[in-house]
Amino acid sequence: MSMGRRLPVYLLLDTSGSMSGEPIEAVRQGIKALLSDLMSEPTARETVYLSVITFSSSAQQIVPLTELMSFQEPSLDANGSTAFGDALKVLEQCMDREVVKATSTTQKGDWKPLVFIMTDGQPTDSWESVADHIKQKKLGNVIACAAGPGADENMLKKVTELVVKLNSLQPEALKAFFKWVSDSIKTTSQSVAQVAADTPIGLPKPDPNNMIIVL
Amino acid sequence: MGFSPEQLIRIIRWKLGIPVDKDYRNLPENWKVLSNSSMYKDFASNISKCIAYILEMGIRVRLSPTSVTDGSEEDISFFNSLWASVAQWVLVNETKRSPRVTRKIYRVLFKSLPVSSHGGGPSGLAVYSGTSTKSPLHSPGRPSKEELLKAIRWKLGIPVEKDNERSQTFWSRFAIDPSCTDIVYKVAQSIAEMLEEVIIYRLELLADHSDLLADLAANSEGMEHLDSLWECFVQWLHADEARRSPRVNGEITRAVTRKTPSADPTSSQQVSRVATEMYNAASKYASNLQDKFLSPKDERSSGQMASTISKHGAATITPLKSYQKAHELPGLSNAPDSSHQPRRIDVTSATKEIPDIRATMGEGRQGRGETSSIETETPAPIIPSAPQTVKTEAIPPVSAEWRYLPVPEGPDKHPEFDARAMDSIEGFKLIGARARGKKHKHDGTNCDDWFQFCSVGDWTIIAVSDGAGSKKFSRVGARAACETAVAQLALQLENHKINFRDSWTADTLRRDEATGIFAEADLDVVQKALHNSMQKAYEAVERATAERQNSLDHFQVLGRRVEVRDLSATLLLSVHTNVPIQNGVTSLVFSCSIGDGMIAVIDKNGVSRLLMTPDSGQFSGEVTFLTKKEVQPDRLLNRTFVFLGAIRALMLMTDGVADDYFPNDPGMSRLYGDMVLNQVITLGGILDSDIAAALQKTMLYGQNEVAKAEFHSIVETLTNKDPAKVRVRSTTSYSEKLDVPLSDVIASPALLIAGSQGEPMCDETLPEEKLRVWLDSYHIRGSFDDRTMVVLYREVLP
Repeated sequence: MSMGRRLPVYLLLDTSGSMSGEPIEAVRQGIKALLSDLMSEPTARETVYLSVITFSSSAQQIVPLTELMSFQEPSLDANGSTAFGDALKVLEQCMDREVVKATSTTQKGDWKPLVFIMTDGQPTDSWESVADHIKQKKLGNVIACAAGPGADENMLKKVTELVVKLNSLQPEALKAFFKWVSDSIKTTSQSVAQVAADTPIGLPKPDPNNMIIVL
Repeated sequence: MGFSPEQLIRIIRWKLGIPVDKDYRNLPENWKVLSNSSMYKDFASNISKCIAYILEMGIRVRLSPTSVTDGSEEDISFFNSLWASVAQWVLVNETKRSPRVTRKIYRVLFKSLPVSSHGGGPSGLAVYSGTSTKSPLHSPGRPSKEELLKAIRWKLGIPVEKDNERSQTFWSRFAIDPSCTDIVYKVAQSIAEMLEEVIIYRLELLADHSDLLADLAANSEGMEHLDSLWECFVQWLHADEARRSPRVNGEITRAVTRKTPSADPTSSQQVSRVATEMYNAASKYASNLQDKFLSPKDERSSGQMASTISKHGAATITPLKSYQKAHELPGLSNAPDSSHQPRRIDVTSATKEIPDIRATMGEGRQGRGETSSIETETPAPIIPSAPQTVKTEAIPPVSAEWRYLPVPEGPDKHPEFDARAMDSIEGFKLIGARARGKKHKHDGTNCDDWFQFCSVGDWTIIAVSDGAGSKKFSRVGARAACETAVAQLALQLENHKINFRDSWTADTLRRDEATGIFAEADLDVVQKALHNSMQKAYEAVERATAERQNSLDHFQVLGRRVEVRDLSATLLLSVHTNVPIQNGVTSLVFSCSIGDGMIAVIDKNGVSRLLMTPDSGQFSGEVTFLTKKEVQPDRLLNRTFVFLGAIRALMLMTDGVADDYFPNDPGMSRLYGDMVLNQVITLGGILDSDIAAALQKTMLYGQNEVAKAEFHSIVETLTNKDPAKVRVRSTTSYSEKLDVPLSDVIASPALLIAGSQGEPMCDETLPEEKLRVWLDSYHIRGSFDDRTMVVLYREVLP
């Protein structure tokens, strides 16, 4: 039977060694909170499909694009380096494979996808040309988060215009970030239908104690 | 299930009869979902323990044998006023107390007392030191339990009829007995247990507590009285809400929000962890309190005690409003001060009806009158929401959260619905309907769709428009565009006739490759009229914007002056005429569109022919709108289509409908089938015998079998009135039951008619109203946009 169009949401998360301990636990909690938050908003619940890609020494899609009701939280381990370039490559591959374009005549096209990238440090592999490619490609609305003092927001600007910075990797900061991610998704899910192609995405204001939008 | 912690708390509060804020609407539905989920029992048990624990602490503090040291004022008044409510309850129920409750209370108090009834024996009680008075518990000849009972009652502020002084004295001695603390604990625990029973009863957990059930069965008024205890607790809770100890508030909130339940509905552990956290928070708070109030007794001289007490004063309790001002309950001091006698609580102002609980169980406060003199918020009427499961869907109901908010007051308020009909010319009926989508109902915003049609000269003219979801006044643009486009087309086509031709071929419909102009002049007139109307429609949108430039209302909504882009909308246009051919007439249809949605013709065989290619970007939702650029003729050429042939129907719709019949080829045929099956389109001109003959070749070989077959679902419309139950039939299911391919079913008017017989889809009788109801009701997950359709159709098929 007919089903509505999907809003694909990709989380691209840094699970390098520096995230181990409290930060990665806060990320886990953040994902749980995100899920429950989205489930409580009807438009999000009926449209959001979520995928999680993690990267440390290499990148992998640990949860394929799945509807919210079936989503199982992944277990997350933090160790290794920061293969950001690999992460972007895997992101592109997954999206090419999973996202349905509107031009398809057999499947209902997805709404414009949302991508949230979070990293706490410097990339350890070659990533610049992949980043350029991603920026050109227009995968959807890509938002990058430089988490903590070790992350470089200018680096992330090469991937997308929409960059936010987290003050720290403290649990409160990460919690605030995931709440903001959830609010962004909910806002997007409420206004998916009929947006002019180049309308900039309306993002909610972040909690100024923990996050700023990098201009 | 996936409720957030805040929601869980609200649902439980509502269920326990504690007033919640005004948005009650979804709570009954949410309760059903919550109480049916697998983790509910653990969660509810933990909640009930937690709440009972708080009360227990209140009692303990009250009965504290030590003086107040440095507890905060609000902590003291918190527990004091809590206890005052309980005391009130006890008194009110004094004369009406059921044997069961009486037994329970006595059992509680007796259980707590380690002494034997003979008054002698040292079990658990040490002999006093420091005073020359023997332990009152050892007073010869007196049944010490009774004495203690009275003393406790006195101390708890429950008036004792006589022997107040005696009780007081007794208490002051008991207070320094080493066993006192222990006894106090037990008393507090037992009374709290009673409260827990009430919560268990209210949260519908009785089934798991067979002892309690049996007990209640033996004594039917028992629960009513306990329940009225709960009422007191609730009143206190509500009255004290603003003044309640910030520590309690903080601890509980923190515990609940720190860990949120998993979205996985089967993970009962995670959710009960929330409740356990709450319980732990209460315990932690309680033990902090204990450290403060229940510190190891120092053997102070009465002089020292006196000075400590005067430091705090007799803790005056803010009485509940139902009490008369004169009253003071004993403070948290145990000074042997006769001025602290508990006075009789004025019962008259406190009496209230004990509501008939059984009748209203399951509805929380709903259905009860105002039962107390405490100002509580009158709950808003529960507004039914949530369309129910659609049978044909494998996915469980996901619409439990959708709510209904009416169309808001404000500039350019549009009617929520529209349904109109017109008798067209020469054998066609014309109907149109529009319904506000679930998303707009949920958000309390306007419907953004519009439609318009008319019939002039030889022509039927139809326009449908969908305002941009993200633009605040797009509905204004939609309406202006439709009305102007139709008026303009009417003007230009009123006197226009299509010439007679011996034969029509593909060549007749030819257009010049470069310019797009029709080779046949009479056809080109129509194309020009369409393009002209697009332009005029855009100009109308500009005019509508200009008219609102200086409107304060509009300025306030946007935070700036209104601009054309705030009225962005799509526009779908189509015109129809009968053209004379050799042996009669056939249909000629032109269309022109900007944006998404669909225009389709259903030909005589039930096959759909699409008359537009929806504008789309790379992703769904990236739509083109009516703009100055898009209405230029060169931009419109590729958007203009023509069709010649016998048709069953011409349909125009916004994407709220089109998306639900994707892919539109052949989805539009299925939509036509659904229109017939759901009695919106009534087909005639087929003999009953032909219908019977057609059925015989299928798995449902007669009308009786069709009647018994289930190819429908019952859906409830999302509304703030009594929701209509709508019987939505599905062509797909029907064809499965018939075991006939979908396209064959649609090709056969006989089969379609057979499927439409029987129970009515809804209560409406007019076709346009039926269309409106169907649009407003059918449920598909992820489909929550406004729905608009205009259909030009034959009742007797060519």
